[in-house]
Amino acid sequence: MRRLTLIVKPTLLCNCACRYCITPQKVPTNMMSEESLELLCEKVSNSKIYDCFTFIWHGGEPLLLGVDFYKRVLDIQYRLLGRGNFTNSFQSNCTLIDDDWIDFFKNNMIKVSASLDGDRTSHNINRIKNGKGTFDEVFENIQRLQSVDLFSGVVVVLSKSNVNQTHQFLKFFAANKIPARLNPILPSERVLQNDMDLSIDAIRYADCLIKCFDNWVEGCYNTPDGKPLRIAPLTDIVHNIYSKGKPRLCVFSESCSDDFISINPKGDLYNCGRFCDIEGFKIANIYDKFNSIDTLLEKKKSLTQWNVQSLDSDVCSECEWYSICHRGCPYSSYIFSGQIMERDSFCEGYKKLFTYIYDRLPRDE
Amino acid sequence: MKSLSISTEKLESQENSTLKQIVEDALHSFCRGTHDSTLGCTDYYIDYGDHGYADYIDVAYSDYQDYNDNN
Repeated sequence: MRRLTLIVKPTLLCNCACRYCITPQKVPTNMMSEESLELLCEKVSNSKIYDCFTFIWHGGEPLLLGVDFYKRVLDIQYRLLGRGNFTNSFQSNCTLIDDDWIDFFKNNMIKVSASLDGDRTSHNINRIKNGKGTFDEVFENIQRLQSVDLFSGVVVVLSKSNVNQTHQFLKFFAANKIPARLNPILPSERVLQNDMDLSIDAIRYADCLIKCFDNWVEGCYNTPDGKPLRIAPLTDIVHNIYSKGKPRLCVFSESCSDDFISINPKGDLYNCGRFCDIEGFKIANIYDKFNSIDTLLEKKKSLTQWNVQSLDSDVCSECEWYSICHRGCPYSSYIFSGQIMERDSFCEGYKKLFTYIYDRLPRDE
Repeated sequence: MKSLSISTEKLESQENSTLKQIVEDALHSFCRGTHDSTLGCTDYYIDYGDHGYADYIDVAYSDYQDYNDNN
């Protein structure tokens, strides 16, 4: 079974106005059409390489399209992909969830991940709707999702605003069984336009995660049932160290372009949600004449995957941590340097973090 | 290449029970299929970094099949 993950951005619009949002402030107002989705499902269903499909509904805010849109999406998926060959999940700001959404998620076994930047204090600094922080409504809806076992965790954007509160909010997450992925803030047009400097450099990111790791193994982030909270990328790094070169998180994988594709509201296809709408990285449009997603694989690789032959003369070829990170995320290289062939901009931090964790993990003699 | 191996016995003898659970979770939670004798994952899914944990994947396809068969 080979899985393709489709990061679908049905709209770039959002009902919130987070201060650092990576989506440009002026975005096209169009929503993805059902015709585009039908073509997408048809062209992935013709694949001879992939036979199961995970749809991650991303954005913008994907819930803006309403429950009825997604009911029709499910009809298309069942018809073209077949029973049992696909799953859906959402990455949402979780401010629009009501009883209809809960029923829909429940009836279709769809899990939801929330964007939450910490506890109330940390979250409300940057996550804004109508001038006010959204923590209370997001947390209430997380609890509703948890009550029906449809909550998969949160993505936290670590910035200068909340990096010093990590210990405090991870204890809060543990107490409330909220698995967390701690991602460093990346440059965005909105941040630059607002002249905000919320960035944290590679070493500060690493130092933050090292403190988290120490507290984590000491049991500070155990959930009420005594289990350690799942914290990314720490769990992933532990996995990578034992997995003999087989990382499981996209940013550390050797060939992420093989496993992902993203589509924007216009039907433009990209390797990954992070590259969506960046000039030069469009692979094709779903209305272009091609029968199967398979025909795009070579172009996919050429756009965001570094050239394997160049590794011999590359600084990463000498790195002892290569099998753990595989050069990191191409987007993280591109957004800072303009080049995907550069090392991940968090490289120095990752090395410090990997060394620290490696030295403290149990092992055979 | 930096890589570690740990046997079941060695992991069982780990005194820090939280660290033991962390390692167990990292080794097992994201694997589908089998594990080799040193608990290394022999098959795995690649998770998307701008999304919450994809642990739903572990069960989703079989559960979806059950769900679909019943609906």
